[in-house]
Amino acid sequence: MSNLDRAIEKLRDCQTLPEQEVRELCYRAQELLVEERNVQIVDTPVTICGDIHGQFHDLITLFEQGGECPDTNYLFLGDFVDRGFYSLESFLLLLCLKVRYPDRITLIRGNHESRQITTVYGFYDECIRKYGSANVWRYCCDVFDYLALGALVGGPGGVFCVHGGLSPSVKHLDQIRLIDRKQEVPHEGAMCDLLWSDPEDIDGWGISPRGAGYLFGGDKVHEFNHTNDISLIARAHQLVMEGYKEMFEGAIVTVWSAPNYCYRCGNVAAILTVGEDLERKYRIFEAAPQDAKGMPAKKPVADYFL
Amino acid sequence: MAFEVPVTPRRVKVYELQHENWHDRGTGFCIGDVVNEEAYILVKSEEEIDRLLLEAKIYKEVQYQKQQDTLIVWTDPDETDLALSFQEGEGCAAIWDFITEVQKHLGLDDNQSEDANDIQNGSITLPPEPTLGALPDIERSLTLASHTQYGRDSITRDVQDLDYIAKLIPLLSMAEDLESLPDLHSLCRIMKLIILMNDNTILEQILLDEYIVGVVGILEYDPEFPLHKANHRDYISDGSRFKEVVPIPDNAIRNKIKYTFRLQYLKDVVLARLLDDPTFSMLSSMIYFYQVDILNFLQHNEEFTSELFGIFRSSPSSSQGLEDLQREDSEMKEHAAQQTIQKKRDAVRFIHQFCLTAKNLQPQQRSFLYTSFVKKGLFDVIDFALRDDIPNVRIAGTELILSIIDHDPSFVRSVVLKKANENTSIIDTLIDLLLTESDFGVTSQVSEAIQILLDPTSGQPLEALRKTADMFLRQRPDDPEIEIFLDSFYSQSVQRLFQNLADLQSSDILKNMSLQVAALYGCLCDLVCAFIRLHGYRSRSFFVESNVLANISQLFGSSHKSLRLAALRCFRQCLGTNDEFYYRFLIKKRLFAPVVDLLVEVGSRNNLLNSACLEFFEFIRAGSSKPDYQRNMKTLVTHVVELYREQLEKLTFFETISSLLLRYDQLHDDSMPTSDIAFADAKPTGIPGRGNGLRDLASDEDEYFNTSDDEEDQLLEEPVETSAGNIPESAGLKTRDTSDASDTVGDLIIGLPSVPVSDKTIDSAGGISEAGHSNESLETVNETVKWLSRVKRQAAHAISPDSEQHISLTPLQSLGEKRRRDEAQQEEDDELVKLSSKKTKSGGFAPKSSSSSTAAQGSNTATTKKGFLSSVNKKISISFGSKRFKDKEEASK
Repeated sequence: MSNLDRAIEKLRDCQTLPEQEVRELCYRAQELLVEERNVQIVDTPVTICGDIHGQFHDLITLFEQGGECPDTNYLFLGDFVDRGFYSLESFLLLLCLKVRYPDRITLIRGNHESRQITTVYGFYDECIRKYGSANVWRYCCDVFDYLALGALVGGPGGVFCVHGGLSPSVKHLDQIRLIDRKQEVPHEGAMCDLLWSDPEDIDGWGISPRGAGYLFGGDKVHEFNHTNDISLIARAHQLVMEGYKEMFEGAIVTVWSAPNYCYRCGNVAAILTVGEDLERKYRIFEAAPQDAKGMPAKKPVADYFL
Repeated sequence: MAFEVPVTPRRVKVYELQHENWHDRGTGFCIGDVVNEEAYILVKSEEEIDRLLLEAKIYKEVQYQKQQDTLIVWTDPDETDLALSFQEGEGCAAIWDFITEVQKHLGLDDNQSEDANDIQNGSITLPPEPTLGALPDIERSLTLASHTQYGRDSITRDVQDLDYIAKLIPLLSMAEDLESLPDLHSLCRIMKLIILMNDNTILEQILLDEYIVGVVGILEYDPEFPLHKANHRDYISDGSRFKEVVPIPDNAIRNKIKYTFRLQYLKDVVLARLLDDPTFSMLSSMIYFYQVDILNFLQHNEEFTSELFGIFRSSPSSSQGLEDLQREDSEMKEHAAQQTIQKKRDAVRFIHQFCLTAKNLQPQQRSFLYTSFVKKGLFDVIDFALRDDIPNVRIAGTELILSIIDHDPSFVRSVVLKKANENTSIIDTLIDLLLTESDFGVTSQVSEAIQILLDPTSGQPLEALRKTADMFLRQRPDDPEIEIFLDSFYSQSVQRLFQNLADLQSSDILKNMSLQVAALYGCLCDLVCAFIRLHGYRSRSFFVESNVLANISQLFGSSHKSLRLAALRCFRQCLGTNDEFYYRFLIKKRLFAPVVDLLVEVGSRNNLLNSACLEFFEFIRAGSSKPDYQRNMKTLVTHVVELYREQLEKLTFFETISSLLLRYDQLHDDSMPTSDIAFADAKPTGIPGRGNGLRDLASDEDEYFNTSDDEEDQLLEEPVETSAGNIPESAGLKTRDTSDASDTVGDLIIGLPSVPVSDKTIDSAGGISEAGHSNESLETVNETVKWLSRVKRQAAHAISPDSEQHISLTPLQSLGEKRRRDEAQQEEDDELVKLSSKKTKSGGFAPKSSSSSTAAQGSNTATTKKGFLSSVNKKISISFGSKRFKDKEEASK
């Protein structure tokens, strides 16, 4: 059994890895991810998953529902971390699987895979709690910078996968290639929009209430799909109580994979399997059954002075 | 009836509960009334005297409740929930007395005492003495009560009055002895319900020593996890977790520390999943207020802080003059020495935690805290920590300094400057640490600290930034200290920091570079990027003269792809400066070669390296038709294509590269259709084969390549002298004039303001240019003014009619030329006017004057916006402590 397999076993049990191992894992992941495209090419069949947000036990349920990696080919749309109590374990498990089965799992970047956002929404705190220092957080953030920005599933007429949505500065998919993605998510521009935008029932572009990215209407979606010869945009980024939601005559879908978001939203989760003939199959699942392992809580501080 | 009827009208608001919300029925005046032996509460509208807002008969069955001093709440027999909110307590008391008197009177026939009891406890009651058997009833009452505010209020009062929690705790061990899981689960649900009543007093109560263990014990049996039992009791009871480096001199404060710990444990672990928003905020704010109390007390306790910082006095690494103590130290036994060092480490951790906690304080309080700690010797503590053998202590040290730097970089800078005469400044300590550190976490933290410390835009209050947006001068807000600080950094420390890059020679190292060394070089590259961006001419002369920039090209040979990317980013950063000085250097040193080679090497593979290279060339290509970049970028297009055409032609399957080649052809072949060049470019001119304006650019190019290295070096070393002295020949002012000619002509025709901004004139002269926008000391500005007037004289000379005779111009060109001259004159004047703040107008284009200042303002706004953004970002990270729970609340919505 290789070190990597051992690490995967450990992480499946929701145990943390020693700092040194995390560092090596992150380094290997970087070496791997640096070879990836800004828009990764992914073959069908593939199972597309939305936000995870550190809900480790639900991630395990997701694998139970969708099939284990590498048996099933997976594509995760980002937002692995923050909010939930097990961001670290969730992200590291996915990363381990990536390093172990590079061709069977694709990870793209979400707006939460960012230094600024993780300092505010929990991942940073979690790393401090679990390791007593921010080192592991730094390693992970370095990996974030290497994550692909999107994916193209199934060739012509296929599915464009991205965390947020469209950008006014990206008409052609080729334009995404010209982004030097190895950077903190910027506040504006194509890279920011891809990770932050939301579809909305409007015409054209609108100002996003999130303060980053844009709102884009059905016309823009159809235009983009037509220009780039794709049949669907699969994205995540917004909570959908029903797990998934198609809009604009099925030209775009939001997939959400964190059931009972924040442990109290009461929503179900979904994953989308795109088959060889590009047929879409949604699978709904609920929050992990509550057992001792599934008891979500943060790790308490070890020692304290104040 | 034998009681007083209140007839004095009392101002009151009437509320009715509708769908869980209290609905305001209006404001009026309340009196009591008795009609036919029946008592009423009447409220007359204050707007329409005749209208009754309320006419409520007083029943003996109804449970009336007085809350606080001004509120009476009850449920009418028709199930309407009503509330009277009095303006004054006196009025409320009068009506309350009336109600109780009426009820007493009505209840004379019945069992009066029970009624009274009911009235007091509200409709929902708890069995006064809880037993295991009564648990279901208790649970039911609590659930019922939790639905309305009224119920919650009455039940919480019960819980307090009856000391209910103390009565519930013994049931835990009883149920445990009986191994009765249903009872244990019921107890747990009861405790959760009580906590979620969200009552401050109750929450404070359960933190007490005599309650806490029992309470978390009850919460161990979560019915939602029936197979699981937590061990909260062990955790909470383990007193050894609390470390006291210096004994806390006050019992109340020591208790508050314990309570804070318990609250945090409750919030993050025990109740993490089930907390609702109000209770989460309640816990968070309780924690906050305890922390403020603790910090304030300890910080102002002279004895405590003296003892705390005194721990570091016996350190050899602390300030001098303590030789006696040192000798004593060395005489100590090994064990004792170890103990001392351990104590210091603990003290570092304590102060570290103290300062991290202080992040939640108000900015003013934080400033005060840091100032007083620095006086006590905080920097000695940091110094000790940074040199310690244990990585965790070094991390604590760097986090400590980062937290202060984050809060107020200018404060740290001023402290460093004050201590400048001491042996080592903190910046040098940081540099040493960066270069020798084996722990990657420390390395990146230190690098971050260095960067913020040297960032002139850091530590500026937002207000100041906003002000500059309105200012003519592209200056950063006044902070003379940052200038002195940077001067001192660039005169001494910078060498040391980048020595590795300056000395980088053998490519052997690159091939076998360890991860750790690669990480260090990565950090150094990031710092190079940051300094190019932030420090203008200061960093420029250093990076160029020290060979740092040239040597970075060697990193392209590294086996670490991240390092190649880092090196590429440095060059990309140079491109973004729009500073001709860098471009000339990149060209002269053939620094585009490694980028071209990298692109060739990566070939058709579509990966991050490929994207980064393409982005690099796309910037040049696209920039060559952007007004503010095109002058320089056209030069780069020419250079890159002319030197690397052979390689590039193999890469034409990249649209960027084929467009780049096309762009070159457009620039150099007049007959090519030009789609994206300003149309004036394509105008036929008297000179065959070259586009208007480009001729001069090209001849400049030739001139440049004909320039001998010696001259060039001189230029690099003494930018001011050379460019000012050789205006007609050098790539100084003239380049700017000529290459922009086309745009100027175009502008004239279409009548739009010319885009090139006045500062470019100075920019292209190298060196001094930054004086305009980076905030120089007054002296430097004066220097600039002097220099500018010199340039002005020489520029006037350079374009005197004599020099013009050699070139024959088309009418359009002459017009452009004249316009350009006027502009050059005008722009310098503008610059001078701005610098000397005098509004003198010399002959020239009046409209141009306004347009150029608008443009200048525009770019000013742009930089300010950027600064604003970055400071907003910083704001996020600084204030996340307090912001966090707010965001969480939002998240849950």
